[in-house]
Amino acid sequence: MSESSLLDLPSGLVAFFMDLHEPRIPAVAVASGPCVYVYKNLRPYFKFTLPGLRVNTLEQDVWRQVREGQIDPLTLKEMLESVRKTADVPLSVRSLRFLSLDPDDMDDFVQLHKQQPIRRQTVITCIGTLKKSTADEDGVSCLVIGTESCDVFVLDPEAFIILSTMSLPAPPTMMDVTGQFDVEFRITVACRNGNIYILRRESEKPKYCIELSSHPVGLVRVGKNVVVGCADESLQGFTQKGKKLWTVLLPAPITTMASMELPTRGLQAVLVGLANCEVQLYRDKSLLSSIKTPEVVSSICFGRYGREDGTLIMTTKDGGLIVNILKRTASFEDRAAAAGPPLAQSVRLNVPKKTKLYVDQTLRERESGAAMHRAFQMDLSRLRLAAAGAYVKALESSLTPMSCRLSEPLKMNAVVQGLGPAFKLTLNVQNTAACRPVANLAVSFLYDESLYRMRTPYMRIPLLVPGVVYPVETFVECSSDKGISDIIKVFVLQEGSSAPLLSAHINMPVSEGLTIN
Amino acid sequence: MPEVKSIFREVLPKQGQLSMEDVPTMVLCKPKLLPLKSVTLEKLEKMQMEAQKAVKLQELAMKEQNQ
Amino acid sequence: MEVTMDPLFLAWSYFRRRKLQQCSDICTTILQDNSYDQAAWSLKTRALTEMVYIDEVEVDQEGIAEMMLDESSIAQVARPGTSLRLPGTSHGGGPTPAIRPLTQSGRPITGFVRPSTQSGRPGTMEQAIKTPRTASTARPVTSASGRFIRLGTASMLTNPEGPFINLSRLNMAKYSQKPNLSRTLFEYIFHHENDVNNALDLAAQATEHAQFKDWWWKVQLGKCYYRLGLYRESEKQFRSALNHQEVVDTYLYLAKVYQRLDQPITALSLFKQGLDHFPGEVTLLTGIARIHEEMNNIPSATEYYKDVLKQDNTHVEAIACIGSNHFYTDQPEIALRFYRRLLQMGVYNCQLYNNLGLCCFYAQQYDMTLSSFERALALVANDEEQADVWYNVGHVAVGIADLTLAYQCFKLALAFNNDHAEAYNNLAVLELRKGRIEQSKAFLQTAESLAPHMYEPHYNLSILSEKIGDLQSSYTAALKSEDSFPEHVDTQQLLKQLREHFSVL
Repeated sequence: MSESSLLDLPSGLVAFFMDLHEPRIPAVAVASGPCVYVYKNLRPYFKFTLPGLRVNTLEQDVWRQVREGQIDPLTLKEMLESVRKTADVPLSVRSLRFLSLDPDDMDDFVQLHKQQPIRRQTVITCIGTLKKSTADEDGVSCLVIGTESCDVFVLDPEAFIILSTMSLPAPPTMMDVTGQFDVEFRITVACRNGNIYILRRESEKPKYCIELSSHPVGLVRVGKNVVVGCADESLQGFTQKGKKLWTVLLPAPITTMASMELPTRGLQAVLVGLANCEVQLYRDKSLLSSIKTPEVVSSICFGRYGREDGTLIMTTKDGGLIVNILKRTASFEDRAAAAGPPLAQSVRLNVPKKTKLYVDQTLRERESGAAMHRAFQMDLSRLRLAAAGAYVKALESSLTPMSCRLSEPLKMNAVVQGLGPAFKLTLNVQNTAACRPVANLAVSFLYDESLYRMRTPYMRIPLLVPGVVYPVETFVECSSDKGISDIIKVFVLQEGSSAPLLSAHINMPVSEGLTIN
Repeated sequence: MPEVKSIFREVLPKQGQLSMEDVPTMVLCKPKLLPLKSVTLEKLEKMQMEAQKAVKLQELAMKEQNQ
Repeated sequence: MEVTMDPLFLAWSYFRRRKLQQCSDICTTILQDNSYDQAAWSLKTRALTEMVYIDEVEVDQEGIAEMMLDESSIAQVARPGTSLRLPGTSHGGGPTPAIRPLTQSGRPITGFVRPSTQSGRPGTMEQAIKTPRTASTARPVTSASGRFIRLGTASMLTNPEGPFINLSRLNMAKYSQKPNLSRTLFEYIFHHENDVNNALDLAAQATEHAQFKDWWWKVQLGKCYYRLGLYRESEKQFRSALNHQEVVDTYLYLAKVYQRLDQPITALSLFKQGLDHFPGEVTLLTGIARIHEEMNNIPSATEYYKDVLKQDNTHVEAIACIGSNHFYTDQPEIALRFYRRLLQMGVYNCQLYNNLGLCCFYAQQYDMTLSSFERALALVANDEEQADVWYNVGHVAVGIADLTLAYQCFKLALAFNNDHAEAYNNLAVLELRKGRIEQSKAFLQTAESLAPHMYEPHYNLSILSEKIGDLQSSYTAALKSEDSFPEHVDTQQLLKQLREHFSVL
């Protein structure tokens, strides 16, 4: 066991052969921040730092003037602001930090930093390996690095110099590399804009582009095809020229993907870890097998482990490690896809049977339908009258908790909290108009004064903005310990009108505060 | 208007896939059967109401006496 | 010459005719002449007790404190089918919330209310305290205070001549020696004075005097312990009483203890044991049915209610429960039969007519529908009932597509009961049909806050938000809907659709 701490969070890790020495021991490259740390024999071996980006000349000039004492921090700020707005090369981190400072802190910041030259640094987002000149399993490999500045670099494994630079339209997030650097290679890069680009030897710009309908969350190459897992719970297959082959819908969101290759049995498939604690194995669009896991799997690796050729290693979200070994007798056959209508179509619904009583009643209906209809219509007109009467009465006395006036469409509901003798009354008042505010409102209460005391029996309500619920709170105290309660009436009034806009009746709960001693 | 004889007849396929469009609509709360009250509950509520009234009357009377 | 009846005999006769006030008045006169008349004294205590007597088996209301500071529960989450506390732990194939409305506690509404089923059980302390409290829905803080509020109001009335029996000056030891007086005295203290401590004192001394051989005193002790919340002690007393004498009441009390301790399975087996001694006993069968119902196992509850009806075909609770069950399983015509039976039996109240109206409407007996509702409206006792009847009339109006009437009815429901969440929800649906999105949204939000246990407001709000393009709100509302009704297919579909929306570029 050996432990080396990193300065920053790692963004990628690969193992590769960097020389031809015997015995063949691979090196480990860890990408972190702007650097790649190479470890050999579990010891730090080399550190590669990305080259700085081009710095804005205007910006450089401004800082030079500061260093020479020609301008003060405030002028510096103004000049940097104008540079930021006009220039096509972005400002350095230092200038951006400076611009965000309070004027008091600017002086110190300038004094501290003005002597150092300005640099612009980017960070690594993903890392991969590419065989240098032979396709052997233990051939020397180059590192391929994707950066936040939308570049892809290929590094020489021995000298750690940049062999090739390619640029992308968006920052890369995942990559897959195949081929040999000296012969022909393909780098498939998934980018943050939701597109996948395919880079080839001797072309600085991507050759093909795949535009996805959803963000890619996994990228695996199977033979000559690319399988992409998307955020919309789908798995999609593409040719190496970016032509879409198929789509499979998955039962749950994807957490991780890996390829599974068994050359001895001619199997090339994709392992997909899902958020429903399942790992599924797909050959093209057909599901070959699925494993249930006790927890959600966060990463998968299939390959040789010790003497075992077919080993599946998974880590789980809560930090567990699962190692599965492939059965030698395992067979990978497509599950027959059922054709025709789905099963659910032929399931009978459990509809209760019509009873004999029902049949009898329909007979009655058939015989005396006209009379029933007449009776119903007569009752209906009576009921309409009764309802309209009650409704008018409720409107006239503003009994409803919502107002029907077009000018002040208000709504209120009251909530009582507390065990007593003190209660909290909250009135939720809302203006339900589409866009017009309501002003000049007040709330007043009507209650039995021998039973309740109210801190504020009259309150003004602020201007009501449409659609927002305004809680108006007040406190009530019950002065009786005899276990009796009453109704408190709440009225919302408008200035200049004696009739309330709306009212609510609150059935107060019995005060219990005094009875539990 | 002359009567047009319908030339389309409905077809109910016995085999094959059935498709339908399901548009979500708002739902109403269901009608509420009111539960009947048990004798005990009715007596309780009656007693409580009466007691409340009595207490209120008593309190009123006490107040009047005090004045 | 006028022949006067012996006053004591007259009082006794009044007592038997349940003219309790007159009986008590005569006894008072007799006692004024001779304050040592034990017969009159005993009769008066009985009369006063009868005035406020209610069946102790039925009275039960769990307070917030007992529920939240529950010391008898072992596991945080009970296994399915073993607890009364988890609503919906055992769906025995009953109707879903899409068909049958829920009560506040998340149980399907039943056909019958008892004191103990009135208010729902909130899930958390916060919910318990936050639940809007009104006179009709508020849960007492503790069961002691709850009973105090409900029953004790009568005893708080100050009697102008002072209390009939001054408990603090009573010589408990003396009375406990007199078996013919001590029982009426106990019942008086327990029911009329509502003073459990003194009652317990008397019962303890009396049972000692009876050399721990009298089952009656043991049951009374158990009742006292139960009221004090000492359930294990109470269980011990009831068990011991059962050893002396098999009595139906004791079984009922003991089952009540187990229900309070959240051991419905034990209670069920106890009832079955009781049925071995008293085959076909209606109260025991009803007890079983109630437990099944509370555990959401409606089909087997119905089976037991049917057994009850075989023994007693005028059992109101059984008829009402079976009736409501038929209504919510799409057989309103049978429900109508049951409710008509209640009518024939002489039940005459607003609830029954309302139910008859609903059943008639859904069983297509239109000529009797509206007249039933009219009767119901004429019989309402309070604003809540009126609100509920208008709400149901609103459904009829929706059914015949008279939206103006429906609108008025739902609004009336709200006018009479400002907290009628269902009416708010239905009003919101009608408002949306009129294209008033803001109103509709406001009503749905109110319904949501008033009744977070209902899935309809959440689901409707989700659909509304989705229509106006507010996908985030739609998603949160759909999640809430899923929470209160996980099997709802439309919610699931909406969620799926939204998730697809979110993952597309």
